[in-house]
Amino acid sequence: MGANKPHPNWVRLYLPELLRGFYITTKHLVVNFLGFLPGLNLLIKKQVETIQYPEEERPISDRWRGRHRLNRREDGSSKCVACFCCATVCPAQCIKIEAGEAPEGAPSEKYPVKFEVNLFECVFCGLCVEACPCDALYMDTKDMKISQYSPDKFVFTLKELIR
Amino acid sequence: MGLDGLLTILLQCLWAIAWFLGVMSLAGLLTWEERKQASLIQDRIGPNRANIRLFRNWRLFGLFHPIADAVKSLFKEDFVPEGADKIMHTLAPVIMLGLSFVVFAVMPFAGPLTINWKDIPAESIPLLGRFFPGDALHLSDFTITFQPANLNVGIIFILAMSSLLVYGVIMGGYSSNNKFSFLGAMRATNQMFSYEIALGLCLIGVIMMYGSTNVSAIVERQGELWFGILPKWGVITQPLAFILFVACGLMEIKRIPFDLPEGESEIVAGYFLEYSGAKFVMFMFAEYVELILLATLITVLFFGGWQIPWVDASGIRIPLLGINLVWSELAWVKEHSYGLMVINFLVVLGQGAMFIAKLVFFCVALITTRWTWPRFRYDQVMRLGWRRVLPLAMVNIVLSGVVILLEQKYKPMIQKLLGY
Repeated sequence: MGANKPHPNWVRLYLPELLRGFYITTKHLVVNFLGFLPGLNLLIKKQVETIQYPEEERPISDRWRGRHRLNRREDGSSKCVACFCCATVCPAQCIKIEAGEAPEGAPSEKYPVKFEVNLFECVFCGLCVEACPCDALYMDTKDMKISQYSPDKFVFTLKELIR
Repeated sequence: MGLDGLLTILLQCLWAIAWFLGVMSLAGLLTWEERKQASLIQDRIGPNRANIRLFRNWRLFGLFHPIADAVKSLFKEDFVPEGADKIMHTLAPVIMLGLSFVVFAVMPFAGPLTINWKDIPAESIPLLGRFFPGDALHLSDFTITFQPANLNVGIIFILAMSSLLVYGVIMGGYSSNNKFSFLGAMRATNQMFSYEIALGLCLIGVIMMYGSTNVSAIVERQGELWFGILPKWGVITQPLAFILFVACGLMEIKRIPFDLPEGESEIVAGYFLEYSGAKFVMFMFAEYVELILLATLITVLFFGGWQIPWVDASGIRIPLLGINLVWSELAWVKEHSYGLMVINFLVVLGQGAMFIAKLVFFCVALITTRWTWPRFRYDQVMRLGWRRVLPLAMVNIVLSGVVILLEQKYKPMIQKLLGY
């Protein structure tokens, strides 16, 4: 396309092209306006793709990695056996575990006395979930709106993680 | 001056206030409407977050945004830049807003309403008759014109006052001590030279066609019919002048295809760059008032003003189709002495509604132009003004003359041919 090539005469007349532009914008206007009306929005699909965020939310995929969760047994204690697999594999080193000896008759020998995930340092890579040998750690909470009033609230403890 | 004269003056004051309040509220609404319309054109939702938490979270499609905008702007700092001419800087928005309201003074918004008091015995008026027995008041026949000022030089007044609007722009731009504002003002001046003559010339065709510079006379004559069916609206008798007038009008109100004085992408905001707070609001408001002004001018001069096609104060008439309904011959009107007055009142109400409908339609259409067309370049505007619009406006004058002569000569023949 040569930049200096003159437009054909009917284009240089302005009006036909101006009216064509008018037609396009008016079409958008009318379709979207009718699409917003309560009755007609079943018939006419509006072209607006906006999601009104705080009120409506986009559906989150099941594979989406959100905040951590510790799976629990029927009695409510966590399935974690404090094997340190997740803490070892974690590239950001954000998992701190303190192990304790479980009492007699408990399902496992060890249990976590402390299990802290620092979400400031976490990169949400999901390696800890893959490393977990006993089905304890998950990232399927779909919780993305993690906001707190102070930084130390972002260190999630055992109590907050068990779900 | 009798009672009638006093009543006329009172009514004119009333219409002036009505125009002022109407235009003010419409301009305020248009700030919201424009944003909403723009968003729909661009497949967005637009403003919908401003709310009033009274009983529940009221949003009303963002209708509170104009209020929020106004409150925000009024509480902002009123900033005058260093080295600016303070008096001129303050005066510019006042001139802009004030002058843009003046032009509405000659716009009629409904047809004349004739009240024949003498035909109506006071006792037959249902409610009012008890308070104002006709004999006690001795009112003569009275014609209400819905127009603040019925000037014989209406169109010239419109042209004169709307040309003065550019003073606000120039004063604002020159007094701001800012290079971008200065450029904006220069562009406004230059643009004015390119459109002003053409604007006057394309209205000459209209003046010729309707034989008057009085706006209400022009609107009145647009109620006549061509070939017994076509209403003689300006857009039908003067299609070329209509296109040219819209082009020149868009240049005059500095809206988008010709918004060079503002030119956001080139000179930031142009002439009102150094304005903030309430003064900025006045400039913005003046812009919307001018938009309404152009819509009103288009309605009044080219779309029959308050005319409802084929309907007027005396009846419904389409000669070509043989429809001829006269109000005063209706059985209901003959039964009741006030019947004709009620029908006339309803017709005037309908005419007012028609006028508002046309006005709002053209406001929306003009806003659509803003979100449709790109801005012309500086030299393109001048070329368009001088080399396209001006010659075409002159051609239009000649064409109008030819059409008027042909009409005078062949009107009886056509009437005989079509048989009405």
